[in-house]
Amino acid sequence: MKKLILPLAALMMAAPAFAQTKAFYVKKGDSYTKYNLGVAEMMQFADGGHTLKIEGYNEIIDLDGIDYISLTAPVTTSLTPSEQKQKLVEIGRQVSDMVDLNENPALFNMIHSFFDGYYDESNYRWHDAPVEYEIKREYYDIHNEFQKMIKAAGSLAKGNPEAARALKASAVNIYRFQDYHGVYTANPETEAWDKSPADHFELRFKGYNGENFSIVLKASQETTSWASRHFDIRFPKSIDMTFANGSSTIATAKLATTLVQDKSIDMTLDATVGSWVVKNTMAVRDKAITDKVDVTVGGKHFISTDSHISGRNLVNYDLMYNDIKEAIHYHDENDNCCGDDPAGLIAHFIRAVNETDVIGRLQLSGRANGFSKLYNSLSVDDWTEGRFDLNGMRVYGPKILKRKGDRFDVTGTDEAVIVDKADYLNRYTDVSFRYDGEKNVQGCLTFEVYDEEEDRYIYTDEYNSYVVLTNGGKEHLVSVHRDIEWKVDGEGNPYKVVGPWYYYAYKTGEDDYDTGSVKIEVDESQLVYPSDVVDHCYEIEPHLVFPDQTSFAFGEFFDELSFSDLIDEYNNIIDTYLSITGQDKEDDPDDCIE
Amino acid sequence: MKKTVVAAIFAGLALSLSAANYLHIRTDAGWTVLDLDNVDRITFTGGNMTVTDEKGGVLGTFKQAQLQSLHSDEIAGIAETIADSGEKTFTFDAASRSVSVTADGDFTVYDTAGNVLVAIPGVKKGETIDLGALQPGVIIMTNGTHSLKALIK
Repeated sequence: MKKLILPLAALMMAAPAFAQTKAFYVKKGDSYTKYNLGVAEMMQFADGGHTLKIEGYNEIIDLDGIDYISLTAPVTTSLTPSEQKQKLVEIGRQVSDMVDLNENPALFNMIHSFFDGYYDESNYRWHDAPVEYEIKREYYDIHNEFQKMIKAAGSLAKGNPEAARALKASAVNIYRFQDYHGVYTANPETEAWDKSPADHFELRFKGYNGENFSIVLKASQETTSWASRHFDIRFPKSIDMTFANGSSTIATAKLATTLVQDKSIDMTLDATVGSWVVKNTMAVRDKAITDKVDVTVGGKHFISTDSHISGRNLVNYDLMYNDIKEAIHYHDENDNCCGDDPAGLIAHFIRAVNETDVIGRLQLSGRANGFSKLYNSLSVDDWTEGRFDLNGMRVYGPKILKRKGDRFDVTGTDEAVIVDKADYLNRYTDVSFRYDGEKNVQGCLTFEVYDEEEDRYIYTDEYNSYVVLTNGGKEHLVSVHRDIEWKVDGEGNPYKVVGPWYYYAYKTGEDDYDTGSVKIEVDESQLVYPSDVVDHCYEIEPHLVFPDQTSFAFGEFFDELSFSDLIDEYNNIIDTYLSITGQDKEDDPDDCIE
Repeated sequence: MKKTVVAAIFAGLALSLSAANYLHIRTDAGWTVLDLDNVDRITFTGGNMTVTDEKGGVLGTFKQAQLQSLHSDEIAGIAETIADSGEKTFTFDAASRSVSVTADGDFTVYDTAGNVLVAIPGVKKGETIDLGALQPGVIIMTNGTHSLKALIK
């Protein structure tokens, strides 16, 4: 559904209500720098109290050179919301100008031919895409990773830096299955994959225009090793990946890896797709992981991201193995459920920083820490008000917030839990953006809790109604039903047999799952007949806060009206993709950005 | 469909019940805990750090040369440094709302709901902790295995 711009007046009313996180606003001249106190962690004075090191930001403030530190967000002049939109539209247009899908038609045809089936009108037959072809169960993992590789290659050609990390991960995963070397060829007749022996991995399939697409992974003979208590890893020092149409290369990538026992893991991925060149370097040390992606188009900077995660014991195999094992679900020798506890794994990570630059015009900065605290808050079940326990059984029905006449306001979510989650996100994350490499922050992200009201459908027939059940001082609106059976008497006259009203109550077993239901009868005198049931759903939504302290919900700021030109540009890109791959736009209207 | 922001009031409530609402200042003389809701500005002039409220009232003055650290949250990752001695690890003077630390450890103040109000890792024997800024209510102080319940009026 297309979103409509909300009246500015309504936005301004909402603006003062956003949650302002506790922060140090360091004022110096006309500018200020924000340090979110949850992210800042411990701040250490040095040089006789003249400097202050902000641990979580890894920055040192010269206290003699500042005006003051304010705990209240200062209102400063900045671009107006309208000017901000113009700026973002301008940057977005420059980005779209750099994207020319016509440069890589073969790649997109490859993606289309692999993922999209087609209907043959001549014989009224649907043909599955190769991605749907039957594969032997033991090859599932490889097949899935190849899917990811093809998708990643496509994303790379659209400038998505995350795709480099996905491509790298897929290549690594495939090489965990060295026993499955071979050439896998898609057979359209049998709609299955045929395997033939080879000393490398290769996937072959026909394109819809008769192309002979292939993806080849060849590993170097030389390996880099890492011994563990479970197995000795011998990973190829380099893996060459080639995406081709017959003898014509569409894209290439090379993954170079160096493992140093108990000390470090270094990986570099270099990928080239036409004029797109992508370099991803990752370095894992005991106390940190750094990951950089640089994308250039025709030799010009397009996008770069630089991530740094501080941690502890990150290359300690035994510790990491145990904590990863405990983080996932598994069964012990007596088939008891174990794991599902990521606390140990999360404790390896202390803080994360990400800096992203888009064509030198837009800079995004993100920080997070307190991962254990964030996890503990975010993992709490917030849908607890839509069910309750009564006489040892589980009953489903939303909590009644208020009742006025026949109008019921209800909710299934625990507002306090949602508010707590937003609070933790605001305290332990800090996301801001700047323009044109300038130091001044032009906006930041906060998380707000919204009450989204929706009218529920009310059943008003003779089969369905409602009762109010009370438990622990809370009232719940519970649906009740009755069965009506038609019978015929001895004279052939039909008549109704009306059963009692009832609701379902459920027994619960291990892990709180419902294991069976029973019908609980209620007297008709207990029924209520709501005229309106308004459901309150509490949700977290990101907000943009600008230096003038105006605040906008994401969906409201990025409205269609202001960004229509940009949306048109991106729709043109999608049209180009559809045109290259011989598809009609109407085939998949969801492809259009709205 | 109607959509309204509801966070501001509740978020304020949530914050007021946690250590995030207090600024912990460590100096050579000990610890001072200030209520962040009252702190408006911190200035550094004349060799002093001065903390003031919205009206310019001074909440605290600290010699810059004696400043050691600041934090406003539960600081994770600090190991316990004290074993159960069965002895008092701190004393509390209700009149001055001041704690005197008598053994190294991690000093924590909770409210009766279990929320951490003050979290000072690695306090040292001989240090003092000024809790004058704590909001009224019943608090529970701990350091190592020693705990003490007190009423802040």
